[in-house]
Amino acid sequence: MAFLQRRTSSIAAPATGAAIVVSIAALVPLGFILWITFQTGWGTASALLFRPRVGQLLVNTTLLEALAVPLSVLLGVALAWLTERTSLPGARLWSWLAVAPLAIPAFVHSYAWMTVAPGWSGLPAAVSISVLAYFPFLYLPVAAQLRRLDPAVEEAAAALGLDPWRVFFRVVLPQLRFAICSGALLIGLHLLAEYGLYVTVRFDTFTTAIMDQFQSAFNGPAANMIALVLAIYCLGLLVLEQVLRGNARYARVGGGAARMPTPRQLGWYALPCLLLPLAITFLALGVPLLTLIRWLMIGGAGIWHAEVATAFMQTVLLAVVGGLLATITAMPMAWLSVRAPGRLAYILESCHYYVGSLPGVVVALALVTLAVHAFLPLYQTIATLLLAYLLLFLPRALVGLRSSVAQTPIELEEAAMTLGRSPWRAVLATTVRLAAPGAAASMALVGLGIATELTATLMLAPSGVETLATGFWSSTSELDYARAAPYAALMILLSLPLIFLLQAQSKRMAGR
Amino acid sequence: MSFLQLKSVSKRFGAIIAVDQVSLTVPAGNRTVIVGPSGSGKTTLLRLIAGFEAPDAGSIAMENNVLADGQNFIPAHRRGIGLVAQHGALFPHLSIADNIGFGLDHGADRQARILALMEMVELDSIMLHRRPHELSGGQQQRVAVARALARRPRLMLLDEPFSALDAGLREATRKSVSRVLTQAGITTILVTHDQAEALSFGDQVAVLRAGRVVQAGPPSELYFHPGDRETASFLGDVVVLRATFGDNFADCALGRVLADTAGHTGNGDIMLRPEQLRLSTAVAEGQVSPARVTAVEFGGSSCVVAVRLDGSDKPLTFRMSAFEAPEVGAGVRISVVGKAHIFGRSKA
Repeated sequence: MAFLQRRTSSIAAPATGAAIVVSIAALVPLGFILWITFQTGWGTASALLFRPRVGQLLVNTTLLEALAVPLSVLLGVALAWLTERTSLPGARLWSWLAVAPLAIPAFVHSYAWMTVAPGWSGLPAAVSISVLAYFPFLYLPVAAQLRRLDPAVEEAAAALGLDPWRVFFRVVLPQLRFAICSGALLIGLHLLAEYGLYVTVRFDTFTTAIMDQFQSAFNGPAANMIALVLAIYCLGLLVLEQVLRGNARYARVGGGAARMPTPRQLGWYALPCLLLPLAITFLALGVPLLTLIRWLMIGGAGIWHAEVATAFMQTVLLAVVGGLLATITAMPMAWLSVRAPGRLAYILESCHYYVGSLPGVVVALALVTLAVHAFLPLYQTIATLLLAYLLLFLPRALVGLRSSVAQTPIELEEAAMTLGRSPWRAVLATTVRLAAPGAAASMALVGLGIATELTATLMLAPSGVETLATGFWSSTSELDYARAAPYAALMILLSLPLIFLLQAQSKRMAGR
Repeated sequence: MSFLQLKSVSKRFGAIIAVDQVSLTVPAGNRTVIVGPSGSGKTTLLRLIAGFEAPDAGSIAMENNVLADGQNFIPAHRRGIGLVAQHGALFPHLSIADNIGFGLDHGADRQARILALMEMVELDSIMLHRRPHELSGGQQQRVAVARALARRPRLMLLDEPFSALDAGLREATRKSVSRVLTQAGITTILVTHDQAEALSFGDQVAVLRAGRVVQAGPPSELYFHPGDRETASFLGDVVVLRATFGDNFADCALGRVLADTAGHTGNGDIMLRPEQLRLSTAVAEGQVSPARVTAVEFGGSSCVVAVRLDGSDKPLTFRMSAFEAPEVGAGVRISVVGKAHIFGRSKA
């Protein structure tokens, strides 16, 4: 703990203590799964692990990742380039529309496609709907990075004799590597965690298999074993991303602010180029929204029953409390990672992030197992549900908080100390106060994640607690598509601010 | 009377020794400047005094109270030391009035005190309710000074507070801050990498290099009698010539110049500041110092004249008005004002 000695601030020690507690709490459920597996014994475990069913799930999940992620990269990069770097008519509007599909939960996408094309199922449906639902996760960072690239570098390449295509592949694309890797990882993790979408299109993945085991047979050991494989798969994706990303830095060299890039004139190509954003907007926004409107019209006033209002209230309450909890919990880590970075801080931060990257089904299963074996009174309580949300969405809270703490210069804390404030009061008066907007954004991000969370909520919510997501799900499971529509509409309305937030954030990153 | 005393203070970060056995005494009411190139450990030294870092070895005491040694460590907020940071570090979420009043109690005379402080640093009271970003750089620094003064500190630390300002404003702000601190009778330590600022601001200047104080003393002493060549050239332009030492004189390419040669015999280097050299075109018959002008560079208010001495391959440069500048190729005579300095003979 060398950094504790270096910093004389009396805050580092308690903050580290708090971060260690959170990290351990985050790792406990996972450790519990390992322990249960260990207890199962190697014979049973290997019998459960090495069977055709698990092999088939592995093939399915891998095929899904191998097809959907590259397609999302292609689509995201193409759209980002068109909207950020060309004279595409209405580029600003297309840029908003490219982010908007995020407001629609993936299982609402699939619900719409089941209405439009009931026969569309299996791998092709899983891949195509996944791409439509998740490509904005790639579009966002890539577009933000494109905005930040210094056009002088591309001009230098052109002056060295490279034609525009070669400039793109040799100069622009390498500079997008970080953005592409992080976006692809985010999509990859979402594909692992997604449940509703793949159930709707009848495609089995690890997540759907765990839910099957859990709901129908309540087969503890079998579910636990698959969850373990899924957790390892998830870790594999994280490692793969680290390897692909490399450690090269692509910072701009030189002082001053970069010029705005000159948009590439598309000329007559503008028309064919317009087809891409048009088609994507129609498929990723038009189809779900039009379907939803159609069901709302078919259902009429009758589908807006009291249960919808209850679900809405409960969702908002859970989102607010969960958002608050996650933000407070992330505070010590955010402060530490900025103010006292070091090996320990890095390890603690990785713990915070790793659990958040696990699929909800794994975290929920771990909590159920833990509650059943060790803390039965916690089984099926709001506390357990909130704990699951906390673990799942901790990274979201951390990201926003961390960057706003980083934007608050440490000199302010020090100035407050030289003016007689104790270290705690100095941090409260300066950094915490100035990080408030970031904290609000974190709370919103976490809250919106909670509002559309399906898997963990299905597994952990006590009876009587219904959120918009579970309400929607139970209606579609009964094939009552009209009845499900109000839940979906409210989820989309709640998620819209997320789009504004994300888009505004990515514009601010580029200083526009 | 020593007010602040540092004894063999050391601080390392990992393998890097930022501050290496620094001993420094600051008398009460004195203005001390710590000057050194970037990376020399100036800021770390300041942070050790302020209480943001604890020394690995050595002790820091103020008015005979130990601030930090092996066992004791008084944290920054209990030291009563004021600090003005490089960019002011004003609280962006507070008005000017609240920034200045940050360290004040919420008593009845708070408002009056804030106004008095603003007047002290010559800030118009209409700025009271503005936010820091609405002020110019120079005004922000004055607010930072007023904010630090509000606590009536016994010691004020200035961490390159003028370096972010442009040249003209820089000098004016420096003068007004210096006046305010003198009037308030506050002992001050300024950290800077700017030698001109160091020489004009300080009663005492300490030159820091690679974490060590290589020389400390009054500015003129350091300027004219630097301990070594590096300190000499850090504090200003130098002319270094080979010479043969005699009794209170030295013979060099410029002829015979006065020098304190006590303790030096044989050959060695002498140092002159360029402003000690006088150039004249009138070369009398039979006079030595045959030197030729090799280049004249016009630069508006002053020209740079390069002169080559016989037997030397490095030209000397002179700054003079274009009206006085000789022609290229002209023979010139160089005379020396004052004494030459011999390294290793620093009085400090």
